[in-house]
Order: sequence, then structure tokens, then C-alpha cells
Amino acid sequence: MTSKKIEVNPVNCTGCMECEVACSLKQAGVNDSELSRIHVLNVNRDDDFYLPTTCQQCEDPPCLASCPEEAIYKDDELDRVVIDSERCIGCKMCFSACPTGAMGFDEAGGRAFKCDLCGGNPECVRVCEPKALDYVEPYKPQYSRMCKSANKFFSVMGRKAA
Amino acid sequence: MIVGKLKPAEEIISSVSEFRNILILSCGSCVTVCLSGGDREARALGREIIQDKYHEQGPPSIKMDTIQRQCERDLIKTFLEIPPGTDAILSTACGVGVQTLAEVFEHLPVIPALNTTFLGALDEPGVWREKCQGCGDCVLTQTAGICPVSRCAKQIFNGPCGGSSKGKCEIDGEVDCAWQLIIDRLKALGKLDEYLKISPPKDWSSGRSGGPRKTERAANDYFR
Amino acid sequence: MSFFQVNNKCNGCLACVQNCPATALSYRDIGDKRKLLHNMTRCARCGNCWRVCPQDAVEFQHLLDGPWDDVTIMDLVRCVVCGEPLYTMDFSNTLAHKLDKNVEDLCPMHRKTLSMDTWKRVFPEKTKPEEVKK
Repeated sequence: MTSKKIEVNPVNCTGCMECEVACSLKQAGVNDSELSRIHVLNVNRDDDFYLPTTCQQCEDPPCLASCPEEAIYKDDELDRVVIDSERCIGCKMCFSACPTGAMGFDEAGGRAFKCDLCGGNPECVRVCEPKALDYVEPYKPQYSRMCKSANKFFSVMGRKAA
Repeated sequence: MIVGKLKPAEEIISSVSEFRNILILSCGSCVTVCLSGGDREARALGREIIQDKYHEQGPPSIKMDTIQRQCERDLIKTFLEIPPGTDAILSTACGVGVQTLAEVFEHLPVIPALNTTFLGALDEPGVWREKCQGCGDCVLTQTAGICPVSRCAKQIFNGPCGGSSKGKCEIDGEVDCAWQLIIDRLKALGKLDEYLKISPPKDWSSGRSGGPRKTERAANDYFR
Repeated sequence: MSFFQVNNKCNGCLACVQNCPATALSYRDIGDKRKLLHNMTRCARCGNCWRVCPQDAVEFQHLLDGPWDDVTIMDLVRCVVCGEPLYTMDFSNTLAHKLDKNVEDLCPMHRKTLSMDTWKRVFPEKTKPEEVKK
């Protein structure tokens, strides 16, 4: 029983995208960033800021709440949110509900997919050389703030005005 | 498709002789296409049943209906209405349809009007022949698309038996020797060397010999 | 537009009607006209009509390969930033009802980049790893 999460330290991220390659290879069997559960954002190419983003494994997941087939559930063993892809009907409710855009959708198979922490041994963390990703017990106060920001963007931005 | 043939009229009528309000249910799928138990055959059956000659105390009352796929339980439950007072269903569907109806309508006797026979195809107008026995381990790659399990009377592999004569099977001068057909087709494909490969004894456990079978498939996982 | 189509060789003999095993073909004689009728919900596409027609008038290919029919047209919601189609208005309402709140009309990419903006405010000074003090 663990509550480890993927901790993102964007200061270390070099934008190498190895995490995306490794994730799609492990989870989908192909090197295709469309099927990666983790994505590195580097929208402003004039600076060096890269942000790996993935599922926040919310405490109260909107994806779970939105699913009409109850195909999404919380796994208490690893403290993660998991999709039972056999129950998933491909309605994209969860895809549309995720406030961070972390839910993926495989058009070919017609099913949603998301980060499931690779069952406790996240591949992206394993391959990340610059150590921008780590798999650690969350420092709880920080973690709960991160969770809230996933649900309430604008209130976080208001508090954190630079 | 699944092919069948209506039972003799006397047999059908005797099997429903105790019933007074019969619903004849046909199926819109295989049995329609092979002209065995579709709407038209069911109506003809209805016309036959009500003839006075079969009934001492007057014919039963007959109602007719079709369901497009008689093997789909939820479609039947949702869309099929049984007229009130029906005391038996006479089905012209294949055995799968009859059993599905029996499951859904537990309180009603469901009587088959069809003898379901084989998986086959239309070879010439009005003639269907058995092509597949659902052995569960298809060898058509090695036999150029001609099945020795369903089309050889002895279901042998590795070439014709001694009874094959002039390309015909010894059971019936009209039945083609399947192995003659296979050899001819392999020759045409330039693959006669396939014929020289010895097939090991077939594992029949994937077929009916292994007991009633089940297939499961996850909706989007085609190879599991 | 019917799936069952005949060309001008059809002479209304009704052999197709007589030989349809699904009773999917029918006709009506009204006044001085004979009308041929087809019911797609009964049709098994077995091809008997095409085989039996003495005039070779059945254009069976239209039962095998045909156009798409409009089923329904609904209001579409697009991402307010890039215009990518997201979902319909009805879908958005269903989702809002399930979550007890409205979702932003943003595609996943632009939802991600919103969190990017948040992060950049948290780490305003960051450019290279060495420059960040722990």
C-alpha cells in the first residue's frame, strides 16, 4: 500500500521527450507520442521551460464521476485512478471532463487511456536522465495543493500571482 | 450460413398437437437466406397446419411473427411481443434460435420446426452443401481453401483414401472427393509441395469432441 | 431513396415479390398504377430477387454499396483557443450535470497549456537547471 506519485520537477526537464517514447512503448507497444500517457509541454520555444504533464491521480477524479459505465475506479493499493478498458465504451465523457487534459483517447481502438503509474514502476521515471521525474511519496501539503489546482485553475493562479 | 430443412409436416403437427394457440416465429437471418425457415416458409407452414385433415377437433389458432435475429436474447426480450393466450411457440429458426426463445420464454414450450443441419453455402440454385464443421482449428491454408474436415466423408488428412475414384467419393458417385479437389487447387496455385508436407494427427479438442465450446472477446482486443 | 432499385427493364411481373423469402417485397395496385414496395428492415439481402428476375432489372449493387443517411444534426462546441471540435452542446450539458459544474471549452492540449501558465508563475525565474536555487 503506497501513495507514491510522479513528482515533476520542471527545472530539470531538458525537453528530450524520452518519457513520451518510453511510455508509449511500454503502454502501447509502439513509439507514438499520441499514445503516450505523459506529455512534455514547451509551448514557448523562446525559453527553456519544459513541463512534463500527466494525470494528477486526483483524490476526487472528475473522470471517475463522469463515466457512465463506471469504468474508472480508484486503486487503493497504489493510490491511483485506473480505467477498466473492457468496460470503457469510448464516449469521451472522461476525456472532456479532465481539467488538465491528461486523459488520452485512442481513436483506432475507440477507448480512453491514462497514466496508471505503470502498476507501481513508472517507466517515464525510470528513463528520465535529467531527473525531472521522480516517483515519491508526496509531501502532503504540496500534493493537496497540486490536486486542488487540477480542479480549480483560476483560484490557484489568483493566489500565486507573481 | 447455418443451413437447415423443415421437418416433415406430420412430425411438426404431431409435436404441436396438444396446443390451441400457436405462435409461429421465423428468423430473418440464415434460415431466410437458405430458404428453410424465413417468413415465407413459416407462412407456408401455417397454412399447412390449419388444414382440417390433421385435426379431429378443429385446427389450432395460428399467429405469425418474424424476428430478424432469433439468437439475440436482448433483442427478443425488448422487441418481441407474444400475443396473449399463446400456449406454444413453433420456431422455424435454427437450433440456436429455438434455444434462445426457450431461455427467454421459460413458461412457454418452444417447439422446433426445423432440423438444423450444417454450416454451408449455396453451390447452385436450390442446392446448399456443407462446407464447415467448426472444428476450431482451420487448416484451409494447407488445403488451398477446401476443407477436408467437412467435405471428406472420412475427415482424413494427407491425401485421398483408396475409395477415391475419378475424383468422386466412394459414398456417393455425386460427391466430389475433397482431396481430389484439394490437389487440383494446389496444382493451380503452384503449391503442390504443400501436399507433400505430412500433417500430424489433428487435435480435435478444439472441435465438438472437446465438449460444448465458448468464445469470449473483449470489444477492442481482437487477438486475445 | 430506396436501397432496392430497378432499372427500366422492369416490367412489373412481380416474380421478385413471389420469390422473396423474407417477404421484404410487396406491391400495390391503385387506380391505373402498380407500385412496387421494398422493406429494408425485413430484407436479408440474400439476392434471390436479383437471381430470379427474368428481365435482369434488379440493380442489386445498391443493396451492397450505398450512400450515408443523415441521422441527426446537433450543435457543436469547439475549443475557444484553437477551434478543435470538442463535443456537442447536449454532451456538455450531460457532463456538467454529472460533475455538478461547467467544464471549460478547451481541447486537452489547451487545458494542458493552462497548467503551464500556472507553473510558470510558480517558477518565474527558471531557465536552466543550474540557475535554480533549492
